[in-house]
Amino acid sequence: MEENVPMQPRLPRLGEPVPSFEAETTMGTIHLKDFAGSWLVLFSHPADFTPVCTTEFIEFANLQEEFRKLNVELMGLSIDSVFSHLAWIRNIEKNFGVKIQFPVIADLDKKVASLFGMIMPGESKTETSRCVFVIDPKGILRAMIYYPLTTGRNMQEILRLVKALQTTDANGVATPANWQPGEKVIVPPPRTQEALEERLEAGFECKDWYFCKKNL
Amino acid sequence: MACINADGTISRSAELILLTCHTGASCEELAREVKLPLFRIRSATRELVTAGFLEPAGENFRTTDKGNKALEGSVKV
Repeated sequence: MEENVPMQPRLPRLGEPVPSFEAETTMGTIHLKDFAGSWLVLFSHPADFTPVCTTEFIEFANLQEEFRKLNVELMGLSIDSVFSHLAWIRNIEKNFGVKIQFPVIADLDKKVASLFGMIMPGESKTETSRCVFVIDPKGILRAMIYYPLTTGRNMQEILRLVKALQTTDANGVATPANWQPGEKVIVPPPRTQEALEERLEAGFECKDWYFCKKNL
Repeated sequence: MACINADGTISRSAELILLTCHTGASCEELAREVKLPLFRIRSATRELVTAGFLEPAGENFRTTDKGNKALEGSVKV
């Protein structure tokens, strides 16, 4: 028996390509593929001219150079018009002396927000929650963070997350809780007895056979 | 439209791109010359090609006659 079940868009998953899109932004029409070869932190905010979002934009702007050094571009999004975005950006510069130099998607038709599952109807049907999508240079979704409307994000944590992902990619390692660049990393657990015996002789700092750290 | 203003004139960054593409340039070369991030160059070149100011030439872009005319009067080519 067939039932009429409404089709839900398939939301992005970690380790898979993110959905492609083209969107109007404060820097013109931008396609996802324009970021090929760079990391992209795509983030949504509930609305322009709101205080928590303003603090978040200022912090992203303050850290933009740090992100750039890591080959990371930033792009914001909310369900506002491009004119609203432009007015808010001007307002931030005037009131806080901070120039916003990353594009902001004007997602009035909620196209991109719906593709990425940025709207949480339990919180608001008309605003995007505070979502962060870390997308790698090949367009693969590597991390997601969701914060509620009331709580501003920690931009240093987003920066740390990108550094951890890049460290993993470059060295084939994992990173422990609260890891910071320069600290010891986790050697992935062995999958064979031979690998287990080899690693015990490799000079790693091991608490047990499955728990080994090393310096990079 | 980031490159083409509402009155049909071109933006400052578009001028720089058209000037740099006079002898042909790739997106990477444009990013270096114009000092804009690569994603903005890719977006801008797409817009300028659609508007007929640039044309693709292999991996490079070249300014068209229409692009050269747009530059006349605003900057010396």
